[in-house]
Formats: sequence, C-alpha cells, structure tokens
Amino acid sequence: MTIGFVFLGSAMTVSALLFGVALVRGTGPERLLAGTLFVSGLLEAFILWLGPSLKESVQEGMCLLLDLVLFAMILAIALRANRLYPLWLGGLQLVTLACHLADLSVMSGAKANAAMQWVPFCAQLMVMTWGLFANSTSRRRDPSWTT
Amino acid sequence: MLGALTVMTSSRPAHAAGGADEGCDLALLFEGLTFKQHEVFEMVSDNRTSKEIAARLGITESAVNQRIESVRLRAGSLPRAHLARCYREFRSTRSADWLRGAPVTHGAEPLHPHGSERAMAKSADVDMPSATSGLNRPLHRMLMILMIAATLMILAVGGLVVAHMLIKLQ
Repeated sequence: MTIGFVFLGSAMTVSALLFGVALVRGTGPERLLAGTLFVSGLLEAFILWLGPSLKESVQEGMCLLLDLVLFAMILAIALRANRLYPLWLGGLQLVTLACHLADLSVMSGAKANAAMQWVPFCAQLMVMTWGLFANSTSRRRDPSWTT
Repeated sequence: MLGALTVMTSSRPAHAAGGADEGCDLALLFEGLTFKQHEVFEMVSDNRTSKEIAARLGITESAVNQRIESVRLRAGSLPRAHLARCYREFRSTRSADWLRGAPVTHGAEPLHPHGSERAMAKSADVDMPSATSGLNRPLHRMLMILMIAATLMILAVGGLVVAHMLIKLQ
C-alpha cells in the first residue's frame, strides 16, 4: 500500500512538472495534452482515495468513464495537431481502455487493476516528455514551426 | 549537397537579408531541392500564401512553412519574397533551356525538372510522413493510433504470458 502511494505520488509529481513545463515552453497541443493528463491523473487518484467508500463496480465505472473522456480528448488533439507523439498517447490510452474491458487471466485482483491503470499512464508521461522536448527542439531549429 | 553549397558560396558572396536588389545566385540550391520543396516553391513564386499552398497540396500550413523555412535557412535567411523572385527566374531559365532541347547539366547527369534523383536522395526533407498529411489525414492518423495500440497490446500480452510461464517453472 505504501509503495503504491509512493508510486502514485511520483507519477503525479512528474505529471504536474510536465504540465508546468508545457505551460511555459510548450504550444497549444502540448499544454492541452499535458493538462489533460495531469487532471485525469488527479481525478483517478481521487477515485482511488474514495475507494473504501465506493462499491468496486462504481469505482471501476468511474475510472472507465474518465478514461473514455481522456481518450476522446487525446484523439481530438491527435487528429488535428501536426505531431507524432499524440498518436502514441492515443495508442496507450486505447490500451488502458482495452485493459478495462479485458479479463486478465494471468493476474487478478488489486495488483492487476493498479498495473492496468498506472503503467500506461506512466508510459504516457514518458511520451509527453519526449513530445515536449521534440517540440521545443523543432521550434528552436525552425522558427516558423507552428501548431 | 555540400558540394553544391561550396560552389554556391565560392562564386558570389551570400546575400544579406536586405539584399533583395542583387541578382539571384541560387540555381545550385534550387537544383538540390526535393520534389516536395519544388512543389511548394512553384506556388511561392506565384506569390501564393502559405494557407493557399497548404489548401492546394492538401497539407498543413505548418508543413508548408517548414519546407519554405528549411530552404530559406540554406539560402542564408533570405526574405521569402526574394526567394520567390529567384525561383521564378530559375524556373523560367529551366523552361527556356528545355524548349531549346539542351537541359542544363552539372556533372554527369542531366537535371530532372524537379531536381536530380541524387539531389533528391541527398537533401533531407524533414516533413511529417506522408501518411499523416493530405486529404485522408484523420483516417491515416486514426489507423496509426490503432496500430500502435495493437502492437503495444500484443507486446504486453506476450510479456504477461512469458512472465506467467516463468512463474510456473519456479
């Protein structure tokens, strides 16, 4: 449980840092995506925190709904922005949605649920970091680079 | 590519940004452009805006600006209008030569209207992949998202199966 909270806290700290960097150094798509990831991470953490007071099915339903909304937002940006990394964010979010729906026969229980929720999120944070760095480099190299 | 730039710099000095009244000595640069850059510069020389060029070619405005900017930087950050004028002269020179039946050659190979194959291979075009531009752009991007998700899921499931087998072995 303690390890889980440490992991969760680290992921949220990185997410907040990325959002801050995107606000300062990024352009429209970077700010939207980083903000979306940060807010969705906060909301998922809040749902987990409410855990004992909610039915498991209600908790899972709320997480699924949140991930669906997150996928819709990432998709909208990925289809319009002239960047490659939102496609990876969309792919990872699809994986998260698939994990919601799939029955994991290899692992089950709280650990599997935690893994399927947070591993893709961590991968998304890494992709977002790459995207911010790549965009910053592109704009430094080519001043006419726009959204 | 480097050879072309060396020849260009050794003939006349590079134009300053404000030297729009000087002649155009950029033929070697234009001959080394990629097909996509020629596509864009043909319309730039017709004084079309980036927005119009993007609409005609079915790409984004930023892709158009990127193609123009990469050539501008290689030409010594010349103004766009100056480059447009130079490209117009370059284009008219090529047309005249072709009409005479004597294509201009530099080295052993005759020049293709959109630059030699070697020049096209050498010059780096830093555009987005063609699957993410054009009229079917949203569909292509959606398919790429699905492919990425499918690949990741296959890798994840494969990893889980291997982990499960390893746990069973213990």
